[in-house]
Amino acid sequence: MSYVLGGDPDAGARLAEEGLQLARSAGGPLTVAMCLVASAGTLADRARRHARSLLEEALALLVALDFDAQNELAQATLIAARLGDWPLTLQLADRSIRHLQWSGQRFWLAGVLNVVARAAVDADWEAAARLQGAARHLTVQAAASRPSAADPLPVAPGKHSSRFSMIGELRHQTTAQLQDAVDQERLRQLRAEGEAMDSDQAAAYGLEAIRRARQSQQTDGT
Amino acid sequence: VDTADVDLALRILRHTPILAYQLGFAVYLPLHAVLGLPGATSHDLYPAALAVSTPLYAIRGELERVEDACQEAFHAAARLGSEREQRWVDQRITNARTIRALALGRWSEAARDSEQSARLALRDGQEGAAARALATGA
Repeated sequence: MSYVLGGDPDAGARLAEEGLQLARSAGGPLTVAMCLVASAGTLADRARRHARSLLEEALALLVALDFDAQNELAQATLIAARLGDWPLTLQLADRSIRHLQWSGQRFWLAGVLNVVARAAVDADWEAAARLQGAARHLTVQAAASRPSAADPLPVAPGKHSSRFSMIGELRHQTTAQLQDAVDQERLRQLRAEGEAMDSDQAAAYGLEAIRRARQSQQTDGT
Repeated sequence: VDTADVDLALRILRHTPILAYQLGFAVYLPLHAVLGLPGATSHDLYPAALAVSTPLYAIRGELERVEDACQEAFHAAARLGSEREQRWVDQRITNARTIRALALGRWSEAARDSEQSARLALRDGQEGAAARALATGA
């Protein structure tokens, strides 16, 4: 999903197609699942039905293999959100957040927390606002961190939302719903509470928000 | 490791599948103990063992150690006579750099490294490795 997240889904589709052909030819089911997720990611905004079918095939393979593939889970979470399937988004995010926190992948953790905020905003707008704050903090933190002094800053922090457009649009949707639900001052306050969280706290808070949102979905029968 | 059989230890390390792609019970090998065995540094598979370590740092979030490990593996591989073995090392290094770039949100860098990794794998007929690299790049 590197090209997709970098804003070039056409280049991503070319690689995904070649990768899926090779994977099917080589025959390894885990590799096939990885390539199916990648293909779904390149199509989520353009051919939703096809993307959903590829995603379902990938998830069925991963279940059959009883395998939590870290990157694929994170990607599948984002794809489910792009497809507007909130129950699936929450289910995948619940597994993904633990991996991302463990491996220190703050950009991805921020992305997943943003989509959790979108998936949970109907049931729990306070949690959604705090998650937005936590996600913003993680993004800025990740952009500012350099593994070594020789590493340049990759992208100015202010430009991240446009680079991460797949998530940016979902974040805007959440914000629109929050602005309908709460006044600006309270929204600022809740986001500030989220921004004060470190990555451990943000991950734990995200998991708790998912638990409540899934409970609410079950109660509502959605 | 207990019998200090450096040749056997390095061969097992070189030919064990990447941890992230092992199904069922994963085999965790004592990488640092193997690298520290007498005679390890002069063995032909030492660069491969160093290369195996590079993505592990990236996977567990020790991003600041990835590039140093890549450089060490790269320089060790320069002495190898086999181009195929050098490509194997290069591919592992490129994978580690891809994981690091993804963790840092450097999408275009990750895409470029993934494509390079796929091309290296394809030159030696490793279709599965190439497919995984292309999926990461997509």
